Amino acid sequence: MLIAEMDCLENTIHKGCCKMKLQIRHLHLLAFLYTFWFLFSLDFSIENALIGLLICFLVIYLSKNVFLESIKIFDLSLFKMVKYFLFLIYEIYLASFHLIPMIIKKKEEPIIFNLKLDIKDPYIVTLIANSITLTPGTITINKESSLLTVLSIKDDKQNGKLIAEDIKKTFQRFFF
Amino acid sequence: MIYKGLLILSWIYIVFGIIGLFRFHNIYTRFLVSSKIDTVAFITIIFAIMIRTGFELITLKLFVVLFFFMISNPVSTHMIVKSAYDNGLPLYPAEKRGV
Amino acid sequence: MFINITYWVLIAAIIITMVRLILGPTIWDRLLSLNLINAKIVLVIIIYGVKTDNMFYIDIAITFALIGFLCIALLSKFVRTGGRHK
Repeated sequence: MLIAEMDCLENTIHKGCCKMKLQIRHLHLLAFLYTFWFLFSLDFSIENALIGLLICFLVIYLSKNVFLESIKIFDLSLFKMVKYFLFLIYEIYLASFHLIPMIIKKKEEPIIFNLKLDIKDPYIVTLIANSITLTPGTITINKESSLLTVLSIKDDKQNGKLIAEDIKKTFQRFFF
Repeated sequence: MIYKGLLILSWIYIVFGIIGLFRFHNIYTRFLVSSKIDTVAFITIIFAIMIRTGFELITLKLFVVLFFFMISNPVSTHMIVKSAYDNGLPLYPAEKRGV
Repeated sequence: MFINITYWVLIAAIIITMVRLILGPTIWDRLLSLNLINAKIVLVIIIYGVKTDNMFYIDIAITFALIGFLCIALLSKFVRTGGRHK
């Protein structure tokens, strides 16, 4: 039984070896790994560059069976990413200034509500969910396709409708 | 100098995070307050050190730390809160006990 | 000077957070304080590197952040499923 399984495993690994082709995602991975090699070694001599290239190819060869086939590179332009990052930092500071008076006044009335986004792309939904968690005062608890369950510290007396509208208005206008 | 001001701001954030960790009685409020205030303190200190060192290769490294933290911290906070929520920790424990 | 004060403020914060780690009523309080201690230790390592002018401490900080994130993720998943595979 065990030997048969081992044989099967060996077969799949062997097939994977023969099928190994250089794809676009391997190039992306190579660029990523090579950047990190230079960032951590901080040494720009020729020998170091060659050793880094060798090790990057070794890592890509060893991890060829690990990654899924349908990996998708996040398609936002660099300018938009930088703009989103700066916007996120501004939002974080703005929300933190609202949170400090709440600690002094000891106001605790947490609320859990649902929030339906208009976006279908799972990558962008995940990005928005993580941004909501990163903003002080709100945490995403659950995500099902584009329905988020959010825990918030502020309680408007309307089952969280106002906060949901506010969050949607803040984060969604970047992706249309 | 700018970085001194940012460091003073970060002390305020750290102190308020610790006050929030001990002042509230509801566990969900503690999650919301202390963890998030701590994130802001992290970002502030990293920015202060970036400004102090000036623009070098080190700044890029600090930026990598900041980027990794901004990806990993929401995930870990979300996992802790989801673990508490899925195990049925009530939102208002005192009221339920009273009724 | 300012860097030095930040260093001691962070260490005091870690020690006070450990009180919550010891007397937290539920296990999620302990996980939360472990998460806070992780973030603060990363900061302490970076600030120690700045203080002694040895910038290679930042590599250690990145490694510590990776291991801490993995630790929190696995522990909270273990607590969520109660040790069973789901």
